[in-house]
Amino acid sequence: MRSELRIQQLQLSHSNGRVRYTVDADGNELWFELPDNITLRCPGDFFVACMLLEAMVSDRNIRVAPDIGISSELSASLFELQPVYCLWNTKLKETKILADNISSIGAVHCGGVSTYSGGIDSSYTLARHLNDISHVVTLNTFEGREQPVEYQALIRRHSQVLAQLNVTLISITSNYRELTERLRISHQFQHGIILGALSLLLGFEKTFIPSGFNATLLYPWGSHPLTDPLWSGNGRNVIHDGPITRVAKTKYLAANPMLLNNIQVCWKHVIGNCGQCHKCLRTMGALHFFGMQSEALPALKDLNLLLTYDVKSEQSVPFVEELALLALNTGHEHIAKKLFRKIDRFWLTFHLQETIKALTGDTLRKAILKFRGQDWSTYRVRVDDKHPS
Amino acid sequence: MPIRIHGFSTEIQNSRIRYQALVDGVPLWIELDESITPRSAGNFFVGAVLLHAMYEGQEIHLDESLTVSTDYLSSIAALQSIYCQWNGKLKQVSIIACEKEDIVLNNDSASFFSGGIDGSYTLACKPEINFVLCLNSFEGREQPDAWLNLIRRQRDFLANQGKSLLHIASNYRQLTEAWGVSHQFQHGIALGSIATFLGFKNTYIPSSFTSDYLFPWGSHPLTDVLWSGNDFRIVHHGIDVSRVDKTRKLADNPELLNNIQVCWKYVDRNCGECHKCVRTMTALKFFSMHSAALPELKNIAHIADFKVTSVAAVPFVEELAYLAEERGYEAVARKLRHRVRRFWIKHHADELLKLLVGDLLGPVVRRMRRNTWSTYKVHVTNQQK
Repeated sequence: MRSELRIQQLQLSHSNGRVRYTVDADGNELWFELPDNITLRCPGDFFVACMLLEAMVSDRNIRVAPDIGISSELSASLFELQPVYCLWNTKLKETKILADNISSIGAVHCGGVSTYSGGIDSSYTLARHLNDISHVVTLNTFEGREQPVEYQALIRRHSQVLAQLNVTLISITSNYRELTERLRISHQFQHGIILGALSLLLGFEKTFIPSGFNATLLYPWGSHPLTDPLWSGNGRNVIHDGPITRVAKTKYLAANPMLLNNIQVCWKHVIGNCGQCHKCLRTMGALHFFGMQSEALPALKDLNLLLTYDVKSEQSVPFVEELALLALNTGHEHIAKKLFRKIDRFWLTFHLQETIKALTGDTLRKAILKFRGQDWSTYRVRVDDKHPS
Repeated sequence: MPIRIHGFSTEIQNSRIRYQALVDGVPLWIELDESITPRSAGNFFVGAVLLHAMYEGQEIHLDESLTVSTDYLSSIAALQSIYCQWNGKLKQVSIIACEKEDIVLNNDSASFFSGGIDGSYTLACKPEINFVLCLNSFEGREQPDAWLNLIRRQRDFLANQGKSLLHIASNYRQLTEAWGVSHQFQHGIALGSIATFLGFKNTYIPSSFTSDYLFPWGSHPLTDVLWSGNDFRIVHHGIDVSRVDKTRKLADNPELLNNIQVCWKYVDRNCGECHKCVRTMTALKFFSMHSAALPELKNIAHIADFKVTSVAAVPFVEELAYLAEERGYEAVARKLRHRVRRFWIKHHADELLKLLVGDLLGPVVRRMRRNTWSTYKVHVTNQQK
């Protein structure tokens, strides 16, 4: 018989207008916290989602204690999602959710909710669906994890700006990421399950998940246009919104100066943009080429700063490529040419490494990754982990 | 100058109806059983010229005799934005036509079908499908007599399963290929447009690829669903199941299994020798299954002769290698993986060379190899640079 991963001992604690739900998940403390005036569907759904990949990789069923309610919609979504996850990562096995307290619950909030960090993707989604979105959710497990004080300041800033747009911010905090990272589960995978689970937890009629990539480059990734909608059901619609280019999204924000002036894109600071890191420069470059300005970022004084950029991964190619195309189409041929050259240089290295990998059977590459200390290579559960070829 | 679609006419002969229009004077037609009541015929004609128009940056004008469904125009708007992302040479174009608020007239479910593993799997999973759509512009194009044989055979077979075969013939591919539009791109638009023209409540498009391996391609899980309207759904089906698992699933449905048509050489039977036949026979062998449509694989060593010739072929060989290993054929698995590795070495070396010499040799090599796709002007991807 298959062994079980247990989720049990639900406890609630209230403090400063917030409520914390805590459980024992396989011997670990796991909690999430949010304002206590928010009606939830089933708290158990969120905890199951946090532990799903652990159960799948350790080939265990998930047993949920009777005092913790889960929804039948969670089971229905996981029934569709697990085959996809197993296809992406062949180390995973489909798991069953064993629970006595299962109920079918539809949407508990009218209108729409979107996740929001202040980045270009979520600002675009909010701007585009402002008539539909009454609430946004922020999660501390992305940018806010390592600088909690600055993150709280950001939340306050966002709340004030969004209130002017009649949008209410729901700040959710959780320790799930500490736990999943300790279990060596990649957040590149886990984050999509969490975003999907939020749609179940909060139960809005529409949940928008802003897309991070465009439609050209699709690869296994936590939040994905094919998996996000599978969290829908029983009157709740989950929409993976806006798989278009980042520069097109930036252009769209011209129509909403309030959101444009509130963008938070920096890789260095959690609140405020440094104007120097690659992500700031990339955004400043797009604004410059469109003749736009955001109060959140300095104007780009020297276009050559865009060339300080190194293309380091396949995932970053589209972002540089779309910037190069924009430069080309706005008459900055010399910048475009240099950006394209950077992309070519990346592909040269990439194909050289892949040739070596094919010749040496990946042994050398693994050693290099370990030597370089690339964290993701040490994860036990990665989003794309197929049988060796 | 806009592209004009004009001179619309219909003609009934032998219980079949042909919808015809002229595209800047050139006839374009689609033919189907007279018993089907479709929605606006303009949907089909716009779909056939869309990529050509987007490449040339020309509007599409339809004369008043041809209407286009309102929901189809919304779909086209969303789809054009994705197509422009895939191929930087394309431009969004306007469609000037009389709109019609079409409703669904057929409350049935339909699926495209050629007899292959993907289509058979979808039929096996979705018993509610009662109409099967067979389109002549894929395998049937070059061997029309054999194609009609296949249609007759499939019609009888499907009738025994309680399903009706709807044979759809068109000359759209002759036109689109003459315009230099790759069918790897066009086929998805053809399937979507025909589905919105026929207007079944649910139309399934069987998936050829899995969700771990997605690249711009005519029929795609992101785009197929966008053809859906207010009261009908287009479903890209089977994205979460590998080809070998689809084959395994057919064990539960021996009739469909005995009817499979997978061959690259013949349209109305399977040669048992081409790569696609051998690939299918191998999966059957590993699962200890048998299909009356294919000979049994006698010598397992045959599959080691597989040549992996494209990136798209890699997942099929990889999944077969995994299956071989799982079933205790380690030597076969090793050989298949060796083939994949050799392919990657060559592929990356080719790409390196291309980057170094700027694809100067590419067109010459492709012409020598007679890769017809290299002569197309509209490919699925073609980033401007």
